[in-house]
Amino acid sequence: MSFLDSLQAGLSIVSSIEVFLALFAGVCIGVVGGAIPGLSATMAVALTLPFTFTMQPITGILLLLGVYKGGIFGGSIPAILIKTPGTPASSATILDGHPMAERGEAGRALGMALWASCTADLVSNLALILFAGWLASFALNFGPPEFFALILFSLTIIAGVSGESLLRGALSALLGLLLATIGLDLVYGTNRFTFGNPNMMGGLNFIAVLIGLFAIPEIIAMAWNPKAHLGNARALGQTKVRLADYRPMMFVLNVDIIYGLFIGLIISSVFLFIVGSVAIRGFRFVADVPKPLLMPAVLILCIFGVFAVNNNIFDVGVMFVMGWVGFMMMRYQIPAAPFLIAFILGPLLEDNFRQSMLMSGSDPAILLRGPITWFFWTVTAITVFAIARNLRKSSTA
Amino acid sequence: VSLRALQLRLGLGACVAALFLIFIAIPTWVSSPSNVSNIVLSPTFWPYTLAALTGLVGIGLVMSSRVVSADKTIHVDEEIDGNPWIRLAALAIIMAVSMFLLPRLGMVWTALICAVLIPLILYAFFAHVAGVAVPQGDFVRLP
Repeated sequence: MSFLDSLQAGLSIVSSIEVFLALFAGVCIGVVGGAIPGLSATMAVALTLPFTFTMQPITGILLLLGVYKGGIFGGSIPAILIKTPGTPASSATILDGHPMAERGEAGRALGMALWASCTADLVSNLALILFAGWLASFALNFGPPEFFALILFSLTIIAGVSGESLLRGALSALLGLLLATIGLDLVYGTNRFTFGNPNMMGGLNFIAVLIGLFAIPEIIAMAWNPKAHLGNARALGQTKVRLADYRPMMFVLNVDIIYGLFIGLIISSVFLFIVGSVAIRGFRFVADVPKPLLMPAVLILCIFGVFAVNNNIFDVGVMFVMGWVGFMMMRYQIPAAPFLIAFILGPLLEDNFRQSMLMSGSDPAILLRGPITWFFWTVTAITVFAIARNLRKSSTA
Repeated sequence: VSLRALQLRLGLGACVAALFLIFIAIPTWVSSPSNVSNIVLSPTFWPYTLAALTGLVGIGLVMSSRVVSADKTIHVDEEIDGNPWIRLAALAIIMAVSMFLLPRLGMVWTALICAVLIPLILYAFFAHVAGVAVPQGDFVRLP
């Protein structure tokens, strides 16, 4: 079947008003769901799932797709306005978006988030359509040593988000890596810093740590000094990690659904732009609410949101503790962004390292086993060299 | 606070934390099976590596504090009204009480108590400590 035939088959199943309505409704539900901290795009999808049981497969899938897309953008609304990420994906939006909202540019920040969401979405959709098959076969070449090299390279981002002091950034990252070791050891199943508490065996909940580190310190800082507002503007490029379940035969057996989804993906970007523009007008006034009124509401929202992730009160406690950690970091000028990056990447780095060692019988040579690992080690070395050069330049200046 | 003092405090804190992790926390709270064939596969390997790196960063911070100019300061706590420690303690108590009450009273009542208590504390501070004339409306007037 040629590309045009596949496209035509896809168009034939998406060209109905029912599909368009489902996609539009999905984007609306997603934006609202994503804007509620703790609900997350994934949970909004899960809540919508039962409504799709009676629908045609393509209609149901596009509804869920709309919810997910809307949810990912919706998460940036509270991240910008109240420094509380609606979804984990919007955690990086806080770093640039909230300082803008503090300067009275909430509308502009939300607009930029929407434009970034829609354009990046469109580009990634096109990339998916054009390169999905090739990428899937390339991804199969990645084993633990390649992932280890890739994650190690990703950790060099920390240098870019450490602000004034690389050492303070490194300290923040190490704190994140240390906290990520809490839980059961993945190879031997033994306890690490769980203190006999079953709640800690699965590790610290990411959302609780995230909200605790960014939203709660703002509330504590306000209690410390209600007149001045502590807050540090940090810069970070957006990073996203997506896992996809790749089933090669689907591209052959259900080519009409695949191409229908591709078309739906592109249309949903347009819907997202429309719904997002309306949502921005409604939500941007939140930034004008006086802080003494807003902060208690944020605190309650954080408690409900964090609890809702796992229905676990322990996570609320984690959030509070991380709030005080975040406040201390703020006071001691330790940037929070490296902590966040290290907390996410830490377990992946360790697991892939240990898996590599298991595969090779503890021979470190496996970490340099092929062109992919050589590539990532080379770019890591170049980045480290560039950081060291910049440090030397700034110290001599 | 000078930047030099801040770097020094952080460096010393990191060194103490690293020593605590290496000599007390990891041996006590990280269990490793006795049949681990190679050190790099042990559940303690990664925490020990991170603790050692924390110590190194701590030493780096202490060393760097010596080259930082003593005149460089970071501006926090310029003008704070009232006693901030009391407000922090009040917030910590509210958090602790929330954690205690959540499983007992339920989320709605606990949230209601917290949501009422925090604005009242803020009102009391602004109205009575900072001397700000907080508008109260015509229906319910607080003292």
